[in-house]
Amino acid sequence: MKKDILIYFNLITSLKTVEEVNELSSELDSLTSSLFKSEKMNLEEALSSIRENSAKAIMEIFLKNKLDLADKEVIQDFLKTLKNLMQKFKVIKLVLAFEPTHQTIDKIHNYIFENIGIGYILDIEVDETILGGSVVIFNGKYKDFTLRKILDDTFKEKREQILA
Amino acid sequence: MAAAIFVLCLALVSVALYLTHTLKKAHTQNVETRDLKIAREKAAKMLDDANSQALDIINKAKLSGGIASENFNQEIVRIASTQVKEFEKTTSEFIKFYNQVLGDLKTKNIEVFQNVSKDIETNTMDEVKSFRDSVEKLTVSSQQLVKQKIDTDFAQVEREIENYKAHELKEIDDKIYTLLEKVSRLTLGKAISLSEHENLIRKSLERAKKEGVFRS
Repeated sequence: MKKDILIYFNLITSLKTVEEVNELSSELDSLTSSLFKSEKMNLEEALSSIRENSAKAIMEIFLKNKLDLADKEVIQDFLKTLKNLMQKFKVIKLVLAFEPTHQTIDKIHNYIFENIGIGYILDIEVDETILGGSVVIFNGKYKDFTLRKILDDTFKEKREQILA
Repeated sequence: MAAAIFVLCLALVSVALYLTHTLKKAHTQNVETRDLKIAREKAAKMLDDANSQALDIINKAKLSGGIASENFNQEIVRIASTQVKEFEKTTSEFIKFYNQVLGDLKTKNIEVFQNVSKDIETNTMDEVKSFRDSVEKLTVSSQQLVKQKIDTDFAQVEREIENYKAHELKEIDDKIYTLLEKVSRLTLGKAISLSEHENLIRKSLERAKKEGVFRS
């Protein structure tokens, strides 16, 4: 069982955002649908209906772990487990002042992976008015660590001094 | 007296007429008896007596008239004197009475005037007091009204100032925030590099972790 979960590790940890998880989830749905639409349909053929990266990652897992590509029961079990694992992601919502690049997302995710743990994905929203920093929302908790907040607080504290 | 003289004259005329008639009768008979002379003498004597008597009567009448006139004059003088005295007395009394009445009237008038003066004084004082009270009341009322108006206006102005102040401060706040936002976006946004942004994000995640945001 442990081995079974570990085979998903690379794929799971490669998912960093809610968007990526949703895309993969819909690809898995599509894949399942394609595979079981016809008895003649095999995995390789079915993988052509999804994104290349996703197809490649799934194929790697099957090949690396010597899973039977023709065994639809194995395939179904794999897809089901993967979807279950994906549903267990914990979502950290971040409000940023700019549209982050993949590299930035990687850096943020790596920090989370190293300092907080695995199984976290990012839900990123852009709001330029926060100027910098981020708003962190997780599990119903809200924390504003933006530059705008810092400026507001400073102005509130030192308004008399500023307006004098 | 005129009447007496008139009676005497009438008597003389009657005697004269009688004598004339008698003489005429004696003359016409011309051959009368010896008594005729006597009759003539008698008649002459009667005539003299009548004349004497008439003169006496006239004298008496004259005397009587003089006496009466003197008496009358005396009476007149007396009456006049009495009347004058009476008149003087009456006048004196009247003057006295008049003076008394005048004095009474004067006293009364003085009293009346004094009373009137007093009444006028009292009325005037009352009027003045009433006027003063009214003025005082009006003044107090006016003062209260003015004070009330000032208080109301003051409160209104104070409210308006507070509202204006709040409004201005809000505008300043809004403007300041907008200005700060704009300036920050223009300056910090351009000045902050990608690595600085990433650093800020990393720091915010660190703070979130420290504050236990990620604890289940």
